[in-house]
Amino acid sequence: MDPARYRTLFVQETREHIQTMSEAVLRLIREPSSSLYDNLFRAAHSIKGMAASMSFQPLKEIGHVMEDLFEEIRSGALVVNHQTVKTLLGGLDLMETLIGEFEHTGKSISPYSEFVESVRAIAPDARLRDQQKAEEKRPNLELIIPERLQRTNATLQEPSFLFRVDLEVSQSAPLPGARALVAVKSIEDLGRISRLSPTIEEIAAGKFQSQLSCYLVTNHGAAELNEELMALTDIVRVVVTPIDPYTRQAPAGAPPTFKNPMRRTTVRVETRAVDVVVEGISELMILNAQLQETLPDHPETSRIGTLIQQIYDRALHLRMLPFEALSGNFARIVYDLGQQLQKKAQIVIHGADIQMDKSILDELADPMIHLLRNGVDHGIESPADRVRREKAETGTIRVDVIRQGDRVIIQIQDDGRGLDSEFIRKVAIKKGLITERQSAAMNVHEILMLITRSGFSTRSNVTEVSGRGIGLDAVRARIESLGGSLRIASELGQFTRFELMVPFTLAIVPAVLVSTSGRQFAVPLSRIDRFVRIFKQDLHSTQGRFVTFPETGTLYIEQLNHVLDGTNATDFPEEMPAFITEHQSRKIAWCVDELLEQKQILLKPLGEPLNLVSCYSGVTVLGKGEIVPILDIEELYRERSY
Amino acid sequence: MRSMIKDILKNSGKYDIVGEATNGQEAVDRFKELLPDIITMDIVMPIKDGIEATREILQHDPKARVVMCSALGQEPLVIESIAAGAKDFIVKPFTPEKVIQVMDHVARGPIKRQG
Repeated sequence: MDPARYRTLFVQETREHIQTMSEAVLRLIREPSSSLYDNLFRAAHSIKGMAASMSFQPLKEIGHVMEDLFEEIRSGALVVNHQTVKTLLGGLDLMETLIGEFEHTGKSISPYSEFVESVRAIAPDARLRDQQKAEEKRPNLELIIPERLQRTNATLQEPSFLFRVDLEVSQSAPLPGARALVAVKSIEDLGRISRLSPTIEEIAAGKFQSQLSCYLVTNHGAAELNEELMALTDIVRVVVTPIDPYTRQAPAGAPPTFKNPMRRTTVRVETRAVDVVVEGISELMILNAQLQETLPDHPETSRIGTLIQQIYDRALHLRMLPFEALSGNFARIVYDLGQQLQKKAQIVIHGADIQMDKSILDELADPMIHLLRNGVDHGIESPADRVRREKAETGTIRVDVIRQGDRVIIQIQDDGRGLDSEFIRKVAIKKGLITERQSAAMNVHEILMLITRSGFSTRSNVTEVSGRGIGLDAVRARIESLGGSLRIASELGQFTRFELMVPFTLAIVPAVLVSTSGRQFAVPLSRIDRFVRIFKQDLHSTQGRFVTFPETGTLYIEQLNHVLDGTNATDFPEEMPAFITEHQSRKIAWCVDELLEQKQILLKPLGEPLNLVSCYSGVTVLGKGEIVPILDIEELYRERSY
Repeated sequence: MRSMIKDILKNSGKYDIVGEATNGQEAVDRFKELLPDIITMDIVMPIKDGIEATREILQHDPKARVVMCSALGQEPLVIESIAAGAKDFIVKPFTPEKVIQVMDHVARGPIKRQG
């Protein structure tokens, strides 16, 4: 590796980590939390690791002692006081200085050993601890892309391709292990298989869960493989990922062999670099749509179309990370919390290898950690309590990640005390969130969902761990802002389950096109509850707003063109089509002239200065090149002061 | 079991039943005699079990296509059968659609390798 090539990246990332740590250190004074420590550890650890691979010793050492310091603080051996914070910030400043020097000169100028020694003085026993810590793997949310595979010697004479094959057996399949084995045999019929996971032995030993992966050298194409494997009984998902797009070239000279086809290395690139590629390809897709219209019957046109689609799919995959990248430290979080609350808690994660867009994973971090905390703090009972209830002393939080079409479902279930819907109902009435009459019309799920309303907290004693009623509403808001949804299920005394459903990528979403006053807008389908027609005769006017009262509660009526123009509607046509959205428990019917069509759209963010315009979350470009703004529903709510 | 599968296959209109056997040994003998395209085979049978019968059939004709019929609790046995060379399996209780899906897949066989 040529370190110089990576210098810019290294400098830039180090700065980002330093920034993260500065913010975290300052928050540490106000409200220490385990996620804060995790951020600190992760950042220090990353810096240490990067510095080591760049052979930049000073930064490596400082990263190391900073980690020790964080450990001392977390363990309580060191109190967070003015002096500690001063040391920490001093360390960060020094890092900043050193990285600046490195950027320009490739080496360090400022002395740093004094700082290292001063830390050693207050964190004396850290050396012992880091022996153990070295074993621990820390999760790192990085984008890893397989580099071109190296290949030497070969036995296959035909042009062949290398694929990674991921396969998922249906949850409802009887004998999933046997099913997996049939699948393996079928894959073996298609080419040469390697790196099977789980292995045949593991499958035979009953260790198969639901997913299978392997590498396959074959002379079949991806589409063919996909079709072949999808035809198998009880297989719900097949992902065939080309590993080396260049193998289409027939090998020249001596026949190549595959003695070591799996020598996989990775390159690290900025997420932004991938975004630029995806964006470029998106542009290509739009141009292509235009081309299809101009030259529909030209054979080359459809080939270009297919090719662009393939490249696009591949590019989207570059942004994908397994859920694992996020869940790597969950076990630690749950354990630590258990310790803190004198409870016994463990976590079991299924489907950690399910891939999703990095940006979504990033957004999920806070909600997930909140829900885990919630589970340990509010769900799981004390060990004595659990024994009394004839449950295992150790409570379990189970996380299941399931891919379903273009969505990912994440279930977080604890086997704790469950939710008391009757109690929740009473509290909600007492707090004025709902009326007695409204509550009578609500089903159990709707009642349970009340705990996600802001200002709701059934706990009289606010705990340090889970905060004070702010939280679940924030979790819900975050998930909804991703175009996802949150559901709650519970059985009193048995379990509480939160189910998050989010899109697996944000780049392409299904949307509905609407028109009002001759203008077109796109609305992400995930934000829309349903479509209705609004009749003038049903409307009531109250405080300058139109409302109707269908059986499902109050429905506010807005005319989209007036909202966007900032004008007040004084009149209403006899009848208007509308789409209904729900946000913060308020339902609004947005009336438009016409509901046009539903289609997959490419989201393109607005650059400066257009991003200052509220009401729009981005734009999309249609086949003919028209630019259509995408409505930001939450902003529209704000705009109209709901 | 046997008559159920027989009815499902017959009713599909896609398959003909050319022969039946009541135990593993008979299955092997009948196979050699009739050379059917596909054999459905119970795992647990008197005299010779389905796994052993499958092995012998495959020894006789490596291209033979055997589909195992099993109950839910027999996963290790099914895995052993597949390892021995059975092409697929059906689990009791089964639906006609599932049976036909498995049979169709086995009947079609893998796509031909090029070259």
